[in-house]
Parts: sequence; structure tokens; C-alpha cells
Amino acid sequence: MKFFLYSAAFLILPVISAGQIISTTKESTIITSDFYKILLSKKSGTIDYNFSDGSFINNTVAVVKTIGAILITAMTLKCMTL
Amino acid sequence: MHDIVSRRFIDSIGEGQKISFVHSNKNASIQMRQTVSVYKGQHYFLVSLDAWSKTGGDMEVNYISPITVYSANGASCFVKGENPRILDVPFDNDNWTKVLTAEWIPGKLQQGTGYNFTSLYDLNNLSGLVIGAVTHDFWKTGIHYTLSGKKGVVDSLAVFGGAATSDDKSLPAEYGGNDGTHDMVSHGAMKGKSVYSPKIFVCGSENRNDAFKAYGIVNRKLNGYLDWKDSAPFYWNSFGVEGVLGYEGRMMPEGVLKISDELASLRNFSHNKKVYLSIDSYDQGIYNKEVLKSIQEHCVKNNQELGFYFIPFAVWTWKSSVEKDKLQYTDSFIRDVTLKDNNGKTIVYKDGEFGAFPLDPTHPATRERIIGELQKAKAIGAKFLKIDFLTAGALESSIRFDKKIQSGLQGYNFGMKMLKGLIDSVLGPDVFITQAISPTFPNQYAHTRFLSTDVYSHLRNDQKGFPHYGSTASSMISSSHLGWMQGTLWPFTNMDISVMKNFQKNNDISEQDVKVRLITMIIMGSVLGDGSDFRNRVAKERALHFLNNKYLSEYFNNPKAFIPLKVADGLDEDQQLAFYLPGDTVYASLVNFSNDGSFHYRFQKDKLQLYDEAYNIYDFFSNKK
Repeated sequence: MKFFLYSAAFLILPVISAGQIISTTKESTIITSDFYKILLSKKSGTIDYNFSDGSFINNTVAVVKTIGAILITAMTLKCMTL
Repeated sequence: MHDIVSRRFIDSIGEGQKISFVHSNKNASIQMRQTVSVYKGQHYFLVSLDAWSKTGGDMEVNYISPITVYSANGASCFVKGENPRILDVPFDNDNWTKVLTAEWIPGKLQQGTGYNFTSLYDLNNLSGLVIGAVTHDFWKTGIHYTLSGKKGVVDSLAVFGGAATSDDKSLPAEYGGNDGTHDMVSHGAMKGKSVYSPKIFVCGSENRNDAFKAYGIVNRKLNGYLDWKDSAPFYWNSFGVEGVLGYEGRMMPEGVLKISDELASLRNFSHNKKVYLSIDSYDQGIYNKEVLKSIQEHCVKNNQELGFYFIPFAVWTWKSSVEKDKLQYTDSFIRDVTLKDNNGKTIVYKDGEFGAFPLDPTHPATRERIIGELQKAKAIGAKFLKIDFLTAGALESSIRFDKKIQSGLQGYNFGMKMLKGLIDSVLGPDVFITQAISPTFPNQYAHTRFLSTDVYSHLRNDQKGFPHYGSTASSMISSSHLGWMQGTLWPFTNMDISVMKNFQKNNDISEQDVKVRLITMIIMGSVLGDGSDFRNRVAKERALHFLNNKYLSEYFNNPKAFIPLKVADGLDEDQQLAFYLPGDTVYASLVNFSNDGSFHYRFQKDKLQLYDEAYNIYDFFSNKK
């Protein structure tokens, strides 16, 4: 059973790999399987995780804090003093 | 700028596709790369993060998160289900601190931090997400969350390396009082031209237990697993009789010999399995090397082996002794070997005039002391080790002997690897190792780990005349969520020892409470340990009835954790639990800890993986229809 569908309109280079379909557009890469859909947005630098039961974790970012209490997120790579 | 590159790969987990998400900015001094690894045919995927300085200089990072949700940034997290919960797991198994199952409260924000792994799930059908770290070489992984006031909506979620939390005694144990890493120093920083996060496992499944099992298996494939080829051991442990064996004269050496004889008389129980007589904490003035050796010789005549107890990364001593005394087996002062706070003072791991002080796992004197203990274990012929208070070795410290070791968990890994190597070289590979108080990870250095420590076998914490901690109900509030660890992280779980009559100086428990305790050990795939004083007539009679039960004895040769159908919810002890174990013979179990009455539960055939045929139902203990 397939829980997730992707729109063919966005598809440039679909790669079917080991049960996952990976499709890339100018703005994003989407990994789709029976169990999840992961969207990596080149525009925002965020990742969405959607699961077959309807749960999701969207617009996630990566974060690093240096010892000088400088916080950097993957969205902007701008440093913010905590 | 955010670029994406994907490539095929094969690693110890399997074959798949690695998608790299590279974040750069011409004005930024660092670059970051998130990596999503998806595996062929698997429900799960891994997410990690690394970062490096564009100038080629060193970075120094003590917090790194590959997955962060801030709703203020437009991010969102939602858990589907009628009764959503988040699992908030303590860093270690000490202090009777329970696994918390946080529930959404309308209109109320709730914050918390769990460690290593979590699940966002629906209580009704146990479907949902499992998220957790699968690398444990440097970072203590935290999961910080804020539940919104709207059911199923998570306001913020950060899965991060760099968790170091102190115990706040003003808070309840599960809410910051005792569930953290027990640190007094902030998490050590990763230094270098590049830094990396823990790898985070993410899995959504209609069956939370399947997702947890997959999590355990990925941990095992990445980090290793200490297999045990023989049938599961049985062990008798002295802690059930006396906290420090011999210290109060409750059990002197001749008493231990009597226990050995009584165990040997339990024929079913001793059949086809190794039986270990495990001496726990003991008075070294009474139980010296010669005495222990003579006990071992007696055990061998009874076809038993001796077990030995020690604490590799902490020393229990008088506070005044830390500064002036030398560490046993070494020429180093204790003060020179301990982990230190920000003022360079020895950290107090367990407070008290007679307290416990953490030893630096990287210090040569710690190694010398371990060798001394293992040589003692060898001299007395020990084949079973109970290692305790391991969390001490994972504490953060302002200084360590080995400057290359930069974090508490890195030091602990170093120490555990060294310890296992020394056990192999001094005692040989056929020694059964059980971890008592310890962090969950790393898992690969022992055959079993206590799911919760110091369980005294009374039914409930609120039972009159018993301690308000350490009950069977209390242990199952945590353990009912952790059975998946059996067979994935360790060959067996360990539910601590049962007692047939009473624990140390506690009151006597009822025969029904003994039965319930044993059932919970069966359900959780535990090795069978008992700490009864069989010199007592009642304890002996019950041992004949329960421990020597043919079906129970057979079962504990190869214990398997049951699959939960109804898990503990909340911290209340009125828990009603349901489990089953599929197979040619299907086992089903209900446990009712409620004071309020009966427990009605309908087992559904399809849930038990039964076909639409007729089945016979047998009682486990009597094998009667």
C-alpha cells in the first residue's frame, strides 16, 4: 500500500532506489516510501517528515551551539548570541 | 544556500540512499550538512548533522541538533491518535525514577526532557513514532519537548547531543528531580575542524513495539552486542538478605554455604542451566579472599559458580578519606583520580558522610583498581559479575587524565571498553556480566542490564509497612515500555531479584505478591534472579513451590520479552497491563495493580496472531487446562 503520492508536475529526476522514490526539483528533494515522505526544502533549508499514520514533524531545522553560546541554525546560518 | 546531493551506500545496517543537505552562506563562518539515510525496505531512516569551519580553524561545540522543531519558526509536530502520549525516559535506571508518559492537557503547555529515545504514540493502539540516538560514542542525547495545549500538537521538539542536567531536588523525580544525567558540569565540547551529531533513528509504525525493536537492532548493528550462547543463567544474590553482606551479621559465610545447598536441592530449577551464587556488596573484613574462595569451592561441589560484585567507576568512602587516602590497589590518592567540578573539587556522586565519588575512567589508577578487583574475582573463581554505579563514570568533568577525552559519555565508553577488555584478559570470555545502576547506552559491554534497580517485590509503593519505592507495580511503570530491549540491546533483561518472603529487613510479602513479581519477570524476558534467605522455612517452601516449578524453570532457560498490548500510563500505580508472546504456544498475560477492582480485558485472536481455530488454554504454573 502506498500512503504518499507525489505530484508528477514537480518531478525532474526520479530515482527509484530500494523501495524509496527520490524525486528532485529546483526547490526540493522528496523521498517517498510506503512508510514516510521526507521533503528537503532548498528554499527554506528545512526538512519535513510525514508518516503513514498521519503524524508529522514539519519545518525542522538543524542547530549548533558553540561554546561561546552562539546559536546557528541551518535555515540562515546566521549566528545568534544566546 | 541549501544544496542536495544523494548517493547509494551500503553500511552495517544495510543498503540504501544517503541524501546530503548542505547549508552554506558566503557570510557565514561555518557550513552544515544534514544527512538523511534511508534503507531498502525499512520503515526507518537515520538523520545526522555535521558542521565545519570554512576557515579551516577549530570549532568547539557542546550542543548539536539534527532535528529541531520551533513552532515560532513555523515548524510543527503532530501525533495522530485518540490518546496521544510522549515517552520521557530517564538517563539511567537509578533512584526508582520511572519512565514518564506525558499526556496532553487542554490549554496547558508542558515541557520536559527525556534521554536517548522517545516515542510519540497513541495509547489506544500503540502506533506512532520512535525517535532515538543510535550512536553513543560522545554525546549524551537529550529530547527536549514542549507539548501544546492542543491534543497531539508538539510546540517544540529538539533531539540533540549535549544533554547534561543536574538533579533539582525541589522537583519530582520524573520532572527534573532525578531523571537527568546527574551532572554538575556542562556537557563536554566536541573540538576540531569538524563536529558531528549523534545519528538519530526515526521510525513511524502502526506497531510501536516493532519500531522499538528496529531501533534496538540498528543500535546493535552499529555498536555491537554481547551475545550469550548458553541458556539463561539463574542467580541468587545476597542483596536480598543484607545490604552489605555480613556487616550486620545477618548472613555470615556458613549461611551462604547453606544457601548453596538449598539451591542445589531445587532440582528443576538447577536443571540444565548455570546457577550462580552472586555475592553483592560485602563486608571485606568478613568475606576476605580466602573465605570467598572456600565458598566458591563449596559452590562447585553443588554444580554452581560464584558471582562477584564491584564498582569500577566510583569509590564509596568517608568524605574525609577522599583527600587523605589512597585508592585501593593503587599508589594514587583518591583525590587525584576523581572527576572534578568547575572549581576543581571532587564531584560528589552520592552524597553523605559515607558517600560515593566518581573515578575518572581514563585515569591509569582506575584501571589499576579494576585489575585489582578482577584479580580478586579470578582468585575466588568468579564466573558472574554484577557491576554497579556505572553512571558515575559518565559524569561530565572539568578535567580528565586523558585530555583527548572531551565528554562524559566518551570517557564512559573508554572505561567500559577497557573494563570489558580486562574482564576478557583476566577472567576469560565465559563470564556473565550484568549491569546494575547504569546509563542505557552504550549497551554492547554486558549480557544484561537492570530495567529498574532495587525492586523489593512488594506489590505497590503505597502498601502499608513497606517502602514507598521499589514495588513491583512501580518497576512495571517503566519496564512495560522497555521489553523490546531483550534480544536487541542485550540477550536478556534483568528485573532485579525476586524474594520469596521478605527483602532485607522489610516485612513479609504475600504468596500472591511473589507470584505477581515472578509473572512480571517472565513477561519482561528477564534472567531469573532471587535474593531469598532459604534458611527460613517459609522462604524455602515458597522456593519449592515457585522457583522449582517445572514450567517456570523451563521458561527461564530461554526467557523472551512479551509484546505489550496495554502499557503503563502515567505514574499512578493502578496500572492494568496486557501482554502476549507469539509462537507455537502463545502466552498471554494480564497484570492488575489496581486497588479499585477487577480488570476486564478481551484478548483478540488476531492481535495474538492466532488463527480462527480451536485452542486449549493452560495455566502457566500448573500446565492445567
